[in-house]
Formats: sequence, structure tokens, C-alpha cells
Amino acid sequence: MAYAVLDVREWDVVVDLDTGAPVNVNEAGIDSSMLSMARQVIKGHPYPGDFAPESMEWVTDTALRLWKAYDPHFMFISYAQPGILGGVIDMTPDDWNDIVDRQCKNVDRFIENTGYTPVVVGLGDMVPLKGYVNLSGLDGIGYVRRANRRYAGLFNPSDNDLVQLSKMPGVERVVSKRDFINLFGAADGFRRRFPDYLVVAEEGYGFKAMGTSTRIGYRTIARNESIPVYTRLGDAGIHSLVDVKDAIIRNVSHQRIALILLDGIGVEDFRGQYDLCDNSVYWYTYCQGDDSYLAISCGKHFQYNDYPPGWLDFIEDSEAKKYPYDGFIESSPPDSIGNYLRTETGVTSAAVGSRSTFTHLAGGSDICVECCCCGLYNYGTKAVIYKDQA
Amino acid sequence: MYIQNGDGIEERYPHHYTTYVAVHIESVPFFHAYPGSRSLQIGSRGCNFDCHYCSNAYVAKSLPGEVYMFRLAPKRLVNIAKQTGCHNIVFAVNEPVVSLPSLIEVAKEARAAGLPMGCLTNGYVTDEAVDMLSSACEFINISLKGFSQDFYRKYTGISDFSPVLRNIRKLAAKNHIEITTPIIQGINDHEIIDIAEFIASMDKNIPWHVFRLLPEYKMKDEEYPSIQVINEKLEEAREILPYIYFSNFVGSAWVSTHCPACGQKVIERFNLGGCGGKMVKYLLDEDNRCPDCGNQVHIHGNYTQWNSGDAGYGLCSFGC
Repeated sequence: MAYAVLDVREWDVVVDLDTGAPVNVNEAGIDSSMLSMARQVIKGHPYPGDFAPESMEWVTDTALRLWKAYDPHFMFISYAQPGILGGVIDMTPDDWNDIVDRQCKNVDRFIENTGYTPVVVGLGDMVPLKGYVNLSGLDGIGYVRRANRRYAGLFNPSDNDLVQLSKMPGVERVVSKRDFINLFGAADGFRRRFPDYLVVAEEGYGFKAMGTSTRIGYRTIARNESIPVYTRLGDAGIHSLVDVKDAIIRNVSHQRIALILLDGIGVEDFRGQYDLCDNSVYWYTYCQGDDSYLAISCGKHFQYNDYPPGWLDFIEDSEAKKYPYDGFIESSPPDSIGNYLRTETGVTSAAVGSRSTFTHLAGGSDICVECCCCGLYNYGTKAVIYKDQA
Repeated sequence: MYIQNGDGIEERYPHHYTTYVAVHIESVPFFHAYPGSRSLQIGSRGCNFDCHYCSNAYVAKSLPGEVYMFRLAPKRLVNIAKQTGCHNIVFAVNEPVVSLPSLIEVAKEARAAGLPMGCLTNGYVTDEAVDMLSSACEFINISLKGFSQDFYRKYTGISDFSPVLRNIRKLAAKNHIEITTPIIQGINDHEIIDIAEFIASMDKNIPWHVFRLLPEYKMKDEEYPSIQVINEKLEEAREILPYIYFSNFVGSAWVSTHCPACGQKVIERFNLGGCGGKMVKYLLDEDNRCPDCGNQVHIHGNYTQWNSGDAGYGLCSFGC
């Protein structure tokens, strides 16, 4: 059983992560030291909000606190603010440099204080938004999950829709489900959920369709075929983002490692040395959503996880849906790096991140601390704990 | 938004929307209308208030051209709702009265297709406009932001809130209504009992959604109100009204419905973040009676299964 502590400043509640139901801690036999630690950490570190510059310090401060309290062998950290705010705030180059510098200083502060061997992955550059591909006028349904910026699902299109799309500015390609699966292969869940067609935007374009955010957009994820990776692991053999997990597993028995993900940062902004690693499969480039997070954490490409871009996630959100606090996902990925370390090696792990549920879904760590943000609204701070590790 | 045209006014951007998205009706929030149903939530831009804590100011207070607008004819919107298994359409995000002619056309088209329409409004509209809203929308959530001229003047930008009270009374007599009040500790929390008594004076079965202030917009640097302090004040109000909900924070313990007669939890909801909730258990019978004591719980429309509108549209290839 995994459970979560939801803290909204001066008030918290413990819930069963599977059912979402509030938990009576005493009756459930939850290990009180683990719970007490989680409560203290998040009570002392309420998330300041995605728009607050201090959200970067929040990641480092919270990670340091958790490191001192739990002393994990592996840490999963994500600094999401540049990627999140870069999209919705009209920043000058100086503003952008400031935010990247701030992120870099916080990464350095964490590494210098803890002595972890870092594996730092920049999830990719952002580029100015050139325009939108508007799918609302089609006969079929165009759908975009909020977090996915270059890919849209298309359901029940008419022949005319496909003709129109082929002429629309900003559309890179339209791929049928059959063609996609034939080329990429897919896990069962991915295959089931895949839209009738996947619409891919050209670099610099985003979508406007059912499900897209109402926020004003300024930048979007670039077509990052490769992304920067910095590590002191030596010859880590990280040629693709899906190699990161294996590199960590091979080295974690003899050194403490921190995997640090930087949203919105690619080769243009990565401070210091780096190697390039592949961020694509065939024509698909990762775009810093669950695709990137799960590929890195689970060590397999996005089509072998269960959640394709553009799927109609709301259809599965019935009363019976499990893991209600985990958004669209139906269960914690069993092969996330944290879960693997816990179940296969006994290595302790912790995660801290400002990318909301992605932190514990991808981190899968014994204890994970994250913001409870949705649509850039700050609803509180969450800690997720796996009881069997307590 | 309107422009003058000769002796009349006309809508400036008819049928323009900033969003269309499928949501749980409870997240809008409506807790006592068509529980469990899927709503196509739409919204335009603009508002006749300037609430200092507005969560959607980037849309509600935006200027033309600042936000992206879809142009969607009423028939197309209704088709989208049906294609995506939605059971009703709700105008939310911003004040619907700024797009009233469009809303009325959508409502007509929706009604013809068997889809009820609802909306959120601040209730600050003319007598004529409230009649139009009342005819167009079956269920309405009205935001009663406070209970004093002083509060309204300082925090919403209007000088007289009596039209809001007048319109709430009018709508309560004709429509299913729910009321929402954002509470700011130290500013309008002393008005909690006044508001509860006002609601009870119309109908004590009107659900009241109390929101904890989410510091945004001009109040982004304010402290988050204390849940304990606000909830203690609400305890007294719960003696007056049976359906008081307290949310706008993740994990809220006050978003479920209890039978007013026996206290049994009859509709269970979670707050996953956001202003309303998600329903996870509906225990009332088909006549909306408590399974324990048989008491009638005030519900507009019937329980609706989330996926019951999906059949025939082929959107879900694995049998949901």
C-alpha cells in the first residue's frame, strides 16, 4: 500500500494512494516514523507556487531536508520551473538567463551539500511559439492533453478532415494508428488508447483543441532530437534517454547517485559540460511530458509505457478509477527507477520535484515530495510514501 | 463584450470561446445537479467584475487579441458535446453574461439535442438579463462574494451588490441554483452566518460551496486562510444549512454530502485540487433517497454514469 500526505498549510490529510480514501493512520498500521518525517518535511516546506521564483529554492531546500532526514542512497530531483514558466510568461532574454542561472545554482547547491554523484539531464530547449494548429473546426475530435505540446490525438475524422490537415500550416505529419503501431510497436495499454490519428506539429507550433490550456503561450518545446546529459559516472553509456536508468542501476551499488531532470533546458542553455544523448525514436521527439519522465525513469521508450500522446484520458476517469490523485495514470509504473531499486536491490531512494505527480510517478521512490499544482494553480504540497519500505 | 450599434447593442465576439473541455460536473462545481455526469465546459473572455483574487484573470480580464479564441457555432459545440459523451454543457471560466446572446443560442441548440445547460455567474446582471439567463440555463451556480457593500466595493469593483441578492432570489425561485463564496480570512469570514441565513431564507436545501481563498492576481501575496479557523465558523453555519461544502484545497474533508436526516454519507467526493471535487460514490437510490433512512436528498436531475454517453461514438476502443 502506498499512501500520500496532502498538506495545504496548517492542515493535512493522509490518503490511500490507490483508492484516494482518507486513511486512519493508527488503524492502517502506517509506520509512524516515515509518516512523521514526511509531515515534517512538507510542513516546513510548503510549495510557493509555480510563478514564485523561490520554487527553484524550494526544490533544493526540500531535497536537502529530505536527504538529511532519510539519507537515501539514490535521489530523483526535478526542477520544472523553466519549462513551465517559459511557455506562459513573455520573458526577455535576461529574464530567461536569470531563471536558468537560478536553476543551475540550485542544482550546484544540492550536489555540493550532499556529495551525490550527479546525472543531470536537460529535457530539451524551448523555442518561440510561431502559431497554433486549430483542430476545433474538424468534423472529428482533436484532443490534446494539457502537458503534451507537439502531439494531438484525432478521433473519428472525416475524409475531409484529413485533406484539411494536410494543408494546415504548422502540421508536420498526420499518422494513422495502424501506421504508427506498425512502425513503433507498442505496449497493450498504449495500443488500446492510441487515437485514430496522431497529429504532429512542426517545430514552433502548438495546438488549440479540446483540452488545451487557456493560458497565453509564448514558447513551446523544440524538436529536440538530442538532449544534454552531464554525469560523473565515467563511461555511463548513456546514448539515449532510455539508457539513463540502466547507467544508474549499474553504478548505484558503489556510489550515491542523484538523477536531476531540468525542464525547459537543452543544449542552448545547459550550463557547463555535457554529452548529447538521443531524445527521439524514428520521427518522434520527446516533449518533456510524461513521455520524457517515464522513458527516463522506466528505461524504455514511450510506446512501451501505457499512455500515448493524444489519448482521451477523461474517458477513463470514472468513479471507479484507481489512483485518483495521480491524474490520468491508472497505477504507479512498476518499472520506475525508484520502484526497481526498492524491490530488486533494496537501495533506498527519495524524490523531490516541482513537476507535480510526475515526481512520484516517475521517481517511484520510497518517499517523494512534490507540489500539488494543476494548471499552474498551487493547491498544496504532497508526500507519497510506500508503506512496504517504511 | 458588447458594442453599441445604433440604438441597440450587439455582442462583439459572438460564438468565440477560449476553451472547450470535458470535465466532471462536480469540478465546476455542481454537487446537486446531474451528479456523476460529464460536462462540456466552455467559456469566453471578459468579466463585469474585477475581483482582486480572480483565479482566471488571464482570461477574464484579458483584452481582445490577448487570448486565443475558437469560433464554434452552437451546432458544432453541441456536436462536440455529444461526440465526447458529455451529458450537459456548462458555461464557466468567465462571466457568461458578457456572451449572453451566444449562450442563449447554444442553450437552444443543446436543449433540442437533449442536453441541459448550466452556468456560473456572479449574478450582477440586469433584471432582463437574469430572465434570459434563467430561461437558457437549467442549473446555475451564483457566486455571492460577500455580504456587505464595503466588501463588494473594495474587492470586486462594484458599488452596490443588491442586484446580486435580487437575482439570486429570482433564480432560486425558477432554477436549480448552488451558491459559491470565496472566503478571505479577516476580510469576509465574519459574513459567513449572514450568508447562510440569507440562503436559508430562500431555501435551506440550496448547496453552498465555500472556497478557501487561493491567493491569485492582485492578492497573490496574501496568506492562505487557515482551514481550521474557517471551518470552525462554518460549523455554526452548518446548523443553518445542511449542504455546506468547503474546498478549493486538495484533500478537503468537506466535499461529501451527508443525509440531513440521519447524517449518513450519501455521496462521497474527493477534492483532487481545484474548486469542486470528483464524485467517487453515489449511494442514494434512484429517487435520490438516503439508503439508510429514506430521506429525500435534494438533487436536480438524476445520477448519471460517467461513461453512459460514450456509446456509439467509437471514442473508446476498449469497452468503457
